[in-house]
Amino acid sequence: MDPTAGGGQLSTDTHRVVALGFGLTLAAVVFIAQALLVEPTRERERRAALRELAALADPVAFDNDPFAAVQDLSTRAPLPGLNATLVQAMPLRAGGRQVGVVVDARARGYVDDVVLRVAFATEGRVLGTQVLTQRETAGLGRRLVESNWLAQFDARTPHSEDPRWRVRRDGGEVDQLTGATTTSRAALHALLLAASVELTDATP
Amino acid sequence: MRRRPTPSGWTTTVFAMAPLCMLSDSALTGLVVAFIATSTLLVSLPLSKLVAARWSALRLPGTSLMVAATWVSVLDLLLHWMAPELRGALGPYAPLAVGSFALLVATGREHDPIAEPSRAALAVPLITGVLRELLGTGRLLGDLGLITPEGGNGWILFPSAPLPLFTLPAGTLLILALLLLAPAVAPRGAPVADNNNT
Repeated sequence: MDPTAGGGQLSTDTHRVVALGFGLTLAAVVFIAQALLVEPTRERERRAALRELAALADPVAFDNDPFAAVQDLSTRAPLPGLNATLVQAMPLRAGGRQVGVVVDARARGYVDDVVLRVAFATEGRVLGTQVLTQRETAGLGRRLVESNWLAQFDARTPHSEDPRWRVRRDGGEVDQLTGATTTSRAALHALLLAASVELTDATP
Repeated sequence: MRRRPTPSGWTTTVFAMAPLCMLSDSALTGLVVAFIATSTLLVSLPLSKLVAARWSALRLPGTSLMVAATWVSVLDLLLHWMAPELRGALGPYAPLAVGSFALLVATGREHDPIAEPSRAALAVPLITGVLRELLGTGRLLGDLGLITPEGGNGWILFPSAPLPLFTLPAGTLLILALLLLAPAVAPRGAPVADNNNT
């Protein structure tokens, strides 16, 4: 660099130090902001996730932290006839007694995997269902999220061996979303597989 | 004859905002993106000018970019803390604003380094956000649930989604293409279309 650049008063070394110092100052600003915000952000997200879980399991109330007792089920062998895989399970407890279980399961949809979260009461009744991730087509498969199609399973007890628990296209009695049979089948298979998880499976 | 614009004025401005506009598929997210882009310009350009006047060593093009990157990073952290759902809807790419910033500064430098790019950074994401939500879902501000627990469905202007295509990133390009045509049909005073220069 030309030492006379910048008015000729500063040497090249001073230039380098100033530029470096400026860069480090800006990096420090980001670092400090991150250090200050990372814990509050995590705490907020944890509380939001708990609220969401409480809404899913409603009316069953729990007082434990299910996210602290997550059990990995991804190595489980899939059930025959169901095109889905388990992800994880979390126990819901109230006063130390198990009152339910929340199971995540994934199945291949039309575009990509659909991941479903289902809350079950102790006797296997569905308390609520929630789509965790999906990339289905807007206006077709995405109605899985936008319509209340999944709500039809609330308060029912799924049986994967029962042939009526299949979409109509497969000879069952569950109405598929119009124009989105693949998505509906994926969600139903994920739900049926989730229902196969025994209550004790979620106990560490 | 009308004043000739900077070589790629309006076109480059619209293109510069394209990646950011793809992140926002609603009026609300469009507003957030517009704020990120505009505030980046309004903060980093004066600030880098200020430090360059004080320390000659910082008379570098990279200075404003470094300030912009810092600003966007801090904004992203703040957004993550204040509205995690909203930030989730934007995805992890909000800091892309730095790239748009570089292009906007490069194109607006000649006669007007701040005002014109800032106006574009404010208007383009807002227009695309509103149009994408309106055409794609038939409503406006239907995603207020991202920032308030009550949420609601917003204003339903069409009972069913007229053109779901606009909820996809590709819908953004259609709207941007229409915005590119705007100068050709706009009355006098608007920026002149680029093909006048060829």
